[in-house]
Amino acid sequence: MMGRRFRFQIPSVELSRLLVPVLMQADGPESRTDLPAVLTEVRLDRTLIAGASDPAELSFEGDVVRVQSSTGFRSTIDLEAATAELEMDGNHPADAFRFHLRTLAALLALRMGGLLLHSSAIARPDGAVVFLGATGTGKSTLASFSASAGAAILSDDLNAILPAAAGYEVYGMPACALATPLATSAGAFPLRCLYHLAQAPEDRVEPLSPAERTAMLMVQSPFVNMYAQTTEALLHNAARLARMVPMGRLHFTESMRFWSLI
Amino acid sequence: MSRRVRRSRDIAHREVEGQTVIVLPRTNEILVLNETGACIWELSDGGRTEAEVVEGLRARFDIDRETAARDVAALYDQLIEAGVAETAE
Repeated sequence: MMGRRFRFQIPSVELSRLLVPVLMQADGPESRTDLPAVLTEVRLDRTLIAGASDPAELSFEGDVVRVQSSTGFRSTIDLEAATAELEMDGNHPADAFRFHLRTLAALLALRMGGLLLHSSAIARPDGAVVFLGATGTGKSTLASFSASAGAAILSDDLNAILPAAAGYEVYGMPACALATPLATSAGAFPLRCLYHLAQAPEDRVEPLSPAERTAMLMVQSPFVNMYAQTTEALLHNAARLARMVPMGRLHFTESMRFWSLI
Repeated sequence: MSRRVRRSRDIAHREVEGQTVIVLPRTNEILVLNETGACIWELSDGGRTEAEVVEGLRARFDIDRETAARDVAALYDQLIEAGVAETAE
């Protein structure tokens, strides 16, 4: 199958508050025909989210980040020029798009002073609550329980936390691991607090020191937390967020009892 | 107690409200040092002997010499093994 090349123009790295890049142009009529449909699927089709992470490697040359995947795609992200280019051979196109957009979002969030967190997030009238945790710690379960209590789910897999005029705002990424079609909410929501999840025989909240919070935030920042080139920015952004926003460890029994604690 | 230990170069670390976060590059793990660990880390510039670091620790915290010496030695072993500190010449 012939390779395809997709080109994105990021409207403004510094000013755009949306992390999903707006498609401005694609190289070649073939890819141009395909692109809008693929982008729509990334947002809506939950089947795209299933599966293991693509074993891709990032390399850095100043503001240019290259992503090389073992499954047949590579992308180039130029943060200074605000462009992102994806080339793929036709195998696993959904995985390629997903990984490309997520990597791009993680890099943009970092550059904007924020973090892209492996997390679920819900919006309540008093602000957004973000739950961090590794796969299997209950992020999706918490999101599902929260929805049944009337909260809006921003995302149960990836959320961007960005600095705002006052505090931080949460942007749910167009990714959802839930098999059931729960509605996700678009837009920014003021961040009220974060919790690091731990499954436990009882429901309680354990305080964390700012340094522990910093570490937890870094651990749950996929795509950019394995590279020396991004470590300083990650440390800086995580430490600032850890100092400014309340965060604790939520011991969770996979029941609704957590609701009264948060 | 005469060895001199220093933080390795190019190690990402940050003091966060009295504690220290260190990124361990070999294992992609993150180490969080409490207040006494952060103090030992800060004093470990390669210019001080281990005994001097013990005394520096005691100057800041109410801790007996034996406990301080044990804590410094144990942390040094851990930091050196993790590749974020090294014995100075």
